[in-house]
Amino acid sequence: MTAMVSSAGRRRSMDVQKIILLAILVGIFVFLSLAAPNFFAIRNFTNILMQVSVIVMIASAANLLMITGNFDLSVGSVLAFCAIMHAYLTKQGMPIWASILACVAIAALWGVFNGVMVGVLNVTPVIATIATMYAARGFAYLIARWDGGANITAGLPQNFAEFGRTMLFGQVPIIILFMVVVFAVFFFIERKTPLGRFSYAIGGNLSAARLSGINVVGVIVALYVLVGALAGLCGIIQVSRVGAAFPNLGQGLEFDVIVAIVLGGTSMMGGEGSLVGMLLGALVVGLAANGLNLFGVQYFYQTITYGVILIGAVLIDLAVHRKA
Amino acid sequence: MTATRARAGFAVDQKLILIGLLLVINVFFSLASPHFFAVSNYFNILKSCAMIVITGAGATLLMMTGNFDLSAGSNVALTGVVYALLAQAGVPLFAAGCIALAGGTAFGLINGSLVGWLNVPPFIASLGMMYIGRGLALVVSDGSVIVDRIPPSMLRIYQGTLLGMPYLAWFIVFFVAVFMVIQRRTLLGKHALATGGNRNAAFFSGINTGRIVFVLYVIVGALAAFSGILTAARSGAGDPRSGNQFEFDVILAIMLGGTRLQGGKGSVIGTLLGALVVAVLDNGLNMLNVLTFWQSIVKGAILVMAILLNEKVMAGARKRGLARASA
Amino acid sequence: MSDEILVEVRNLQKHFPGVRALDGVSFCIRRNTVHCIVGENGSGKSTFIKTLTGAHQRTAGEILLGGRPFEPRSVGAAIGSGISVLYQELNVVDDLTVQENLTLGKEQSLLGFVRKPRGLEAVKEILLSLDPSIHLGDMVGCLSVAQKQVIEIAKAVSTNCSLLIMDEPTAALSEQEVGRLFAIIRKLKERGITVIYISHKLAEVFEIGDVVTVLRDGQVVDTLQVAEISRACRDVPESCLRIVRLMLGKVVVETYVPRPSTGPARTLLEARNINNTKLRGVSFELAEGEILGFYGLVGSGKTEVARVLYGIDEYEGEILVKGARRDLRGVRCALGAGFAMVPEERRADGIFAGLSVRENIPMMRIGSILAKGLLSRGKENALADRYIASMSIAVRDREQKVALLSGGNQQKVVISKCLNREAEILLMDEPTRGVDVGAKHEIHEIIRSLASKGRGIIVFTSEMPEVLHLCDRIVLMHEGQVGEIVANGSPAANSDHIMSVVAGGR
Repeated sequence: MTAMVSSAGRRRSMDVQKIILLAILVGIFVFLSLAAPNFFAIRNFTNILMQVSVIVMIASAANLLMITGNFDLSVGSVLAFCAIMHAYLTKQGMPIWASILACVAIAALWGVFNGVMVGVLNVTPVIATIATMYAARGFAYLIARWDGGANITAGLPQNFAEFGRTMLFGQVPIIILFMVVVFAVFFFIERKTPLGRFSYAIGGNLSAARLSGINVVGVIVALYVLVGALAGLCGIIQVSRVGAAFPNLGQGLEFDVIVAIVLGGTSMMGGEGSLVGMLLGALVVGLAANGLNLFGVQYFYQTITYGVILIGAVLIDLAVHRKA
Repeated sequence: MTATRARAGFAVDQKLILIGLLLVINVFFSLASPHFFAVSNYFNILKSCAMIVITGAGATLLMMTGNFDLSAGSNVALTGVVYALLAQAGVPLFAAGCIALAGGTAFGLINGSLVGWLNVPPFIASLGMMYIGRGLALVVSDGSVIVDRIPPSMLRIYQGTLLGMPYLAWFIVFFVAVFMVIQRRTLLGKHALATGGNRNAAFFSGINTGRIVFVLYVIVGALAAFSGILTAARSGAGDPRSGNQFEFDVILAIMLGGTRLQGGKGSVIGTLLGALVVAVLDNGLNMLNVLTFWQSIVKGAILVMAILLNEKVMAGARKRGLARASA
Repeated sequence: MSDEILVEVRNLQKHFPGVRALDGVSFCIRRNTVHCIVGENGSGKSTFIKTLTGAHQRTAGEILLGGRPFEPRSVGAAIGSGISVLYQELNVVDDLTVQENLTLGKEQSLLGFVRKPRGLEAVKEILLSLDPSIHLGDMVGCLSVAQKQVIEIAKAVSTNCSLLIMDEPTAALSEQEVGRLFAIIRKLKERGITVIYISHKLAEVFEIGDVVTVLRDGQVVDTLQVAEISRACRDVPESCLRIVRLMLGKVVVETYVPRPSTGPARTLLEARNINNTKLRGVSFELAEGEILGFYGLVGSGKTEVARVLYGIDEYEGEILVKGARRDLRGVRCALGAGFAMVPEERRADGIFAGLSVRENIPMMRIGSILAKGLLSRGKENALADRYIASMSIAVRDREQKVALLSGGNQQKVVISKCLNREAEILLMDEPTRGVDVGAKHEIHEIIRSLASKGRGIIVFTSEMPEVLHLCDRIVLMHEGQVGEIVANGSPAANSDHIMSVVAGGR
C-alpha cells in the first residue's frame, strides 16, 4: 500500500536521495582533504573503513529485512554475545575455527528466535527484538561471569588474534575484506535471488505476497537469521582483532545500522530500499565522524549529529512520500 | 467486524496476576535470605524503582495514546549533568533543579512537536532525540562525571526521609496518585484513552488528538527530567552515561502492568506493580548473590511473558492480512 | 413525513484520474424519510457518501443542505453541520463506558476534571428509547456489535444531528438485531431525523425504506417511492427484481457460442456441501476444459466461495480435486492442490505497485525465471515480453512500475501473473472489472483458449453479459446458497430468469 501511486516519482526521489548523499559525501571528502591535516592518508582511510565496516556488514542484511517492513534491535547484543562466547570457548580449549562456526550458529539461532516471534507469533519487531536484546546481552554478561571476571582479557590462546588481525597484502585489514564480500553478496541476493525478490514483494504488498503463494514466514525468519549470523560474525572479528572480549560491546549498534539504512533511502515502511544508498549513508556518517575526530572535536558531537541526521532524514522522507 | 469478547476484565486480571507474583517472590526471597524481609530493604526496593515509576506514571498515559518515548534515558542523563554543573557552579540547588527541569521538559516539547504535529513515527523521533540528548550530555559534561565541588546537600533529596519514609517513597505515592487521578478522572486521561483506542472515534468527537499527544510528551519529558535530578542526587554526581536503557525499563514496567503498546486501556497502578516486580526480583537476586548479570536475562524472559500476557497478537492489527470479502 | 427537502444534489461530479466515480448525480432527500441508496460495486455509493461528508471534495456540481449551498471542507465541518455517519468499522472506544463514549469530546469539566454531567438525563432517555438493555455504566468493549451501533446512533442523536448516514449497517447483525435496528430507525424518524440507508440487501429497502435511489456507473438511474414499487409488484422478491433490473441496466447479451466439446471430460473439481459463516450447503462440480460461472448480487456469497477454494477462509464440507480429497487450509495449500486465483481487489491484493511489470509477472511461479537457482534476467525479460504481447498490455516498456498503469492494464498484469502459475484450476474473481471493452474481449478470448487446452476455470462475476457470454454453466448465488445451476444455451439461461433467481425468487 505504500508504493502505490506515482512510483516513477518515488524512484526519482530515491535517485535524488542517492545523488544528494553522493554530493554530500564528495563535499565532505573534499572539505576534509583540504582542511584536515591527516585526512588524505591510507591509514586514515583504513580507519574509516574499519569503523564503517561493522555497520555496513550488518546493514547489508538489515536493509533487506527493512525492505520487508521489519527491523532488528538485537544486533548489538548478539554481537557482544558472540564476542564473549568466542573468547570463552577458545579459552576453554576449543579450536578457533570450530569456535567461530559454533558462535555464528548460535547467533543464527538468536535470529530464528526473532524470526519466529515476528513472523509466526506476529509480535511487533520492536518488542520482539528488544526481548532478544535483553536476553543476549544478559547471557553475554553471564558467560563473562563464568569465566571469572567482568571481561575476558587473559588466558586466550596464542593465535586468538590472528583471525581479526590478518592483513591482506599486508595493508588491508581482513574486516574490510569481509565488508566488501558481504556487501557484494547481499547486492547479489537482492537482485538475483528469489529471496531478494520476495522481500520486496512482502514489503510492498503483504496481502498480495501471501496470495501469490510466497512463503512469508520463511522469508522473514531467513532474513532475521542472516542478520543475526552477521552480527555474530562481526562480534567474533572485533574481539579477535582487539584480543579481548567485553560484554558491553556493540551498545547502540542497532541504531547506527538503522540510521545508515534510513539515511540511504530505505523506507521504514518497506517495499523499497537501496544497498548502495545504505553504503553512502554509512560512509557519510563515517566520514563525518572521522572529520570531527581529526579536528579534535569530541566524539560526543557525533551522537548529536546522528540524532539530527536521523530526524532530518525521516522528515525529508515523510515530506517526499507525502508529495508522491 | 468480529465480535469482541469481554476485555474490560482483562486489566484487572493482570493486576491480580502481578500482585500474586509479587507475593510469591516476596515469600521466596524472605525465606531464602535473612536480610530480605526488613523495612529498610523494602525502602531500598522502592528507591531503586522510584525513577522508573515516576517516569512510567506519565509514560503510561502516553502509551495509552499508542506512542512511546525512547529518549527518556538520555533525558535523565542530560538533566542530571546540567543539574550537577549548575550546582557545581554554586547555583542554589532549588534554582538549579528548576533550570535543569526546564531543559528536560524542552526535550518533551521537541518530541511532542515531532510526533504530535509533524507525524514523525514515535520510534524515529524519540530515537533521534535519544542520540541528541546523549550527545549533548556528553558534550556539556565533557565526557566525564561531574562530581567535584558538588554540595553534599544534593544527596539529601535522595537519602532524606519524612515521617520515617524516604522522600523517594513519598514521590512514588505522590506521582502515582496524581497520574491515577489524571488517568481516571480528567479529560486528558479519557481523551488519551480514546486517542489510542479508536483514533477515528476520538477525531469525530472533536478531540484534538495531536494536542493530546504533544501534551503527554511534554509531561513525560518533565518526569524524565525529574528522574534525572533524582539520579544525580543518588550519587551526588552528574553522569552523562547514566540512564542507559532507562526507557526500556519504563516500557517494560508499563507493558507488564497491562497497558497495550498500540494504545487504549492503561493502568498507572499496573505500571507501579510491574516496576515493583522487577525491582523486587533485582533486589532479591542481588541478595542471593546471583549478581546483576542475570538481570538482563530475567528481564528478557519477563518481557516475553509480558508480551504473551499482553494479548500476543499485537502486530496483527497493524499488518493487513488477507483481503476482506466485499461480495 | 414532510415534503421539505433536506439535501439536494445537483449534477454532482467526482472525478479521479481515469475514472468518473460520480458522473452527474442529481436527486433530493426529503426530511424525515429513510432514503435508501443502492447499487452494485463501482456504482458510486461510497464516493457519494464521502463527497457528502467532506472526505472528498467534489469536482463539480452542487450540494444544498437545508436549501443553502453546502461545501464541507473536511469531515469535521460536515459533522458540525449536523451530518453523522455510521461506518462499517465501528467508531466507539471499547475501553470506555457507554456514558463516556456518549459524552466523548463534550464532557463537562472543571479545571480539566471530568464532572458528572448534568445533561445526562437527555442522553439516558435517548438510550432508553433505543435499547433499554444498555446501561450507562457498561464497558463498550463488552457489548455486541448491534449494541455498539446503538451507542453510535445515540451519540449522533444527542449531538442534534439532522442527517444520519448508515453504511451497510446490517452486515454483522443477526436477524433479530436487524429487526431491532429497524425499530430504532423508525424511532429516529419520529424524532425528526433523516436517514440515508446504504445496503446491498434489497429486501431491507422494502422493509425500512421510504425512497430508493438506484445508482449505476456513477449516475442516478432512478429515484422511486418504495410504496409505489411494492404496490405494483406481487411480493418482495418481485419488488427486488424491479430494482435489480435498474441496478444492472439494460443487459446487452452477446450470444454464447458453445465451444466444441472434445468428448467426455473428467471432473476436475468437486465441492460438496460447503458451509461456513457466509455459505450454506454449496455444492458444484467443475469439469476439465469447462468455464464455470458464479453469478449473484453483492453479498450473495460468490467471493466467499472463491476464498474457500483458495484456502483463505475456513469451511466445512468436502472438496475433491481430481477425485482426491483435499483439505484447503491456507493459500499455499490451495496452490499445491492446483488452484490459482486472480483476486477481486487488484490494488489491495493483486499487484505489487512499486515493482515493474517485469517483476510482477513471475511472482507466483518464480521457478519460471530461474536459471541454476538464480533469477535470470534473460528469462524474465522473455517472459514479460511474451505476456505483454499475448495480453496486449499497454506499457511503455516492461520496466514500467505497475502503479502507473491503467486499471485495465493492471488487471492484465495480475492475470498474467496468475496464468504464469500454470495451475489446473483457475479462479478469477471479477476478472474484467474496471477493464475497457477491448481488453474485456481479449481477456475473454484468453479464458476460452485456456479452457480449450483442458484447464478448468471458475469465473466469479457480477456482470451478467460476461457470465452469459463466457461461461458454459452458471451457478446462481443468493445469500450464501446456490439458487440454481444453469447450463448456458439452455432455455433457462436468459437474463430475466437469472435476475429473478439471484434476487431471491425461483
